[in-house]
Amino acid sequence: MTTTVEPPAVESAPTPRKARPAKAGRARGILVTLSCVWLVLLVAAFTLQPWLPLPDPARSDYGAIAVPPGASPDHLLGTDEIGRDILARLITGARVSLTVGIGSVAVAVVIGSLLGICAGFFGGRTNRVISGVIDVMLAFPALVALIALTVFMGPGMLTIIVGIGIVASPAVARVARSATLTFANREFVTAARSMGAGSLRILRREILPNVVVPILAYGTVLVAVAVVAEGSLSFLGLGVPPPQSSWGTMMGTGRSELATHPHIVLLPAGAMFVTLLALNFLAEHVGKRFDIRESVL
Amino acid sequence: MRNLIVFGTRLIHLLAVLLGVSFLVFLLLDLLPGDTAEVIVASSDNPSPGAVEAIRRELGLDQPLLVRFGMWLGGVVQGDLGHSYRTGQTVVDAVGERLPVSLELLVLTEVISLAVAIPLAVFAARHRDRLFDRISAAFTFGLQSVPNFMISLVLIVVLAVQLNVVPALGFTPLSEGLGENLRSLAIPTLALSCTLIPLYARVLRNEMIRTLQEDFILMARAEGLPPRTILFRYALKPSLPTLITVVGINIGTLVGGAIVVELISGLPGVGTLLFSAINNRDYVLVQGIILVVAAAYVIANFLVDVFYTILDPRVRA
Repeated sequence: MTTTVEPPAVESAPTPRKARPAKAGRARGILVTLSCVWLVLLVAAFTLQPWLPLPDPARSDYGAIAVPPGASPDHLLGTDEIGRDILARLITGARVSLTVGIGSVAVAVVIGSLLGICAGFFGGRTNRVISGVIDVMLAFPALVALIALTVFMGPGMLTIIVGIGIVASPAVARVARSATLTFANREFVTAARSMGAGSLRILRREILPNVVVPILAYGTVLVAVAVVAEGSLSFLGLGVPPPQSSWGTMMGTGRSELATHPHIVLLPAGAMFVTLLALNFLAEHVGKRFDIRESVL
Repeated sequence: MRNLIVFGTRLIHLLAVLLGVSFLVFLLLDLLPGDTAEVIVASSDNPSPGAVEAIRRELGLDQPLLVRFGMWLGGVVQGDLGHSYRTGQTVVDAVGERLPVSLELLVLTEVISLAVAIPLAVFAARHRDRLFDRISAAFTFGLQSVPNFMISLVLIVVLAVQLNVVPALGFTPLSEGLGENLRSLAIPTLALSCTLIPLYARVLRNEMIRTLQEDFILMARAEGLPPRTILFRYALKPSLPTLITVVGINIGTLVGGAIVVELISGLPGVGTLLFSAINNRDYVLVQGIILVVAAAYVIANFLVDVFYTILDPRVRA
């Protein structure tokens, strides 16, 4: 995982200069549609996998070792160094990547929102304690924590999802905290309180509906980060255990064949790249749409 | 004077965060299954019954968590982070041996990233929404979607296997010549830079665009100053603080976050040391390295704050 940390997309100030050409807008629309199509395609492929006429992703075809794409009618995208069908493995990998990506962001959003909203809403000592916890967690090297967790707990889908979720939660908490801060003292909150509403009711009815948009928008940014994290872990051999395959695992194990059979590494790399591109595009689109500014940090 | 108070409180905050991190590491390693005693016994030739208990007592592992934390912390204050049970080397020595490699990688990466990202961002902001800006946006966006281990692989295929201009694996220390040293660092440096450049370029471009709309830029333009002077002398400086914050955050994460890239290139840096320590369940070593990495992160952010204050007079008030 590249643990590059980026503040949520900074919108440039409203354009007084000249209107963006309509053509650029249309191109953007097409790209967003394409991104959605790709992700839907991936989801459809792995849900329908049992019924697709594809070889078993875990079975080796010893008559076809390291076949390049297009060379064999049985294996559309060829086979890897021990004769497993690459297309079938790519589809299983898509399931792992997207499940981990979305699952871990869900975990991060739940933990992060809980911490951040409490800190922002209650203020005072609660805020100081939670902010301290967030600072400590942010200073904790994320990938290191993840690797340690998977080595000691034994690799598994659940460990990875929870691990990435926990590691990503302080960033969500920061966003949630500052989003809550901007609403905690607004008139409608005071009004609700003066009408006798308790903290819980205010949190649920007044605060939550307002902060959920920036939090989820930030969450969309994190999905791509989580997919990269899973890829890095798998690449190091710490991903989901076999017979499940993951794009990272495919690249990690195929690395030794790089000079002779590059397709074994390049195909999963390509799949991952297109997926990340799609996820980043959608995240940026969502950010623009809901006008997520740096100020929420 | 006021500055000193601000820095003082930041410094205390810094120490508190480090204390928190070290306690968290302690807690984490304690909660996870297994401990050093079991690992030592498991790796010995003829484990005798009760050996685990004996070693636990010897290492003080039978003490409660807080007592052990206190003992460890007492050592840390005196510069003693314990020693690795495998090699017997002290943690300080082990890290000290690897740190220069990681730091060199870090410095080279940051220098290259900034050297590419700053001009890219400045010209993109200057030609906002025009061809150059579009191309640079597409380029950075694409690059951002490539994980660094993928870039490493591609660079190995192209630069090491096909063109054979740099070695694919290994590290040549500086003492054996600067050229060889730089060549052995080329692939990991480029791989890490490729993930930082898009980030830095985007942050700075947006900040520059904001600055270019300020009145003093209009004023400078009205005075007929050449565009280059306006861009690099007038607009760049007030746009830098945000970039510096992002650089600071990433310097911290790079010290430990270069693990994957270090492993692929076989660099003997802190990342590879940490990875093998985790795999060997060398608890004391893992604790020590995480403390060092976290310290690097916190100190880098502290320096950013200091820098910020120097660069932006408004913060000083």
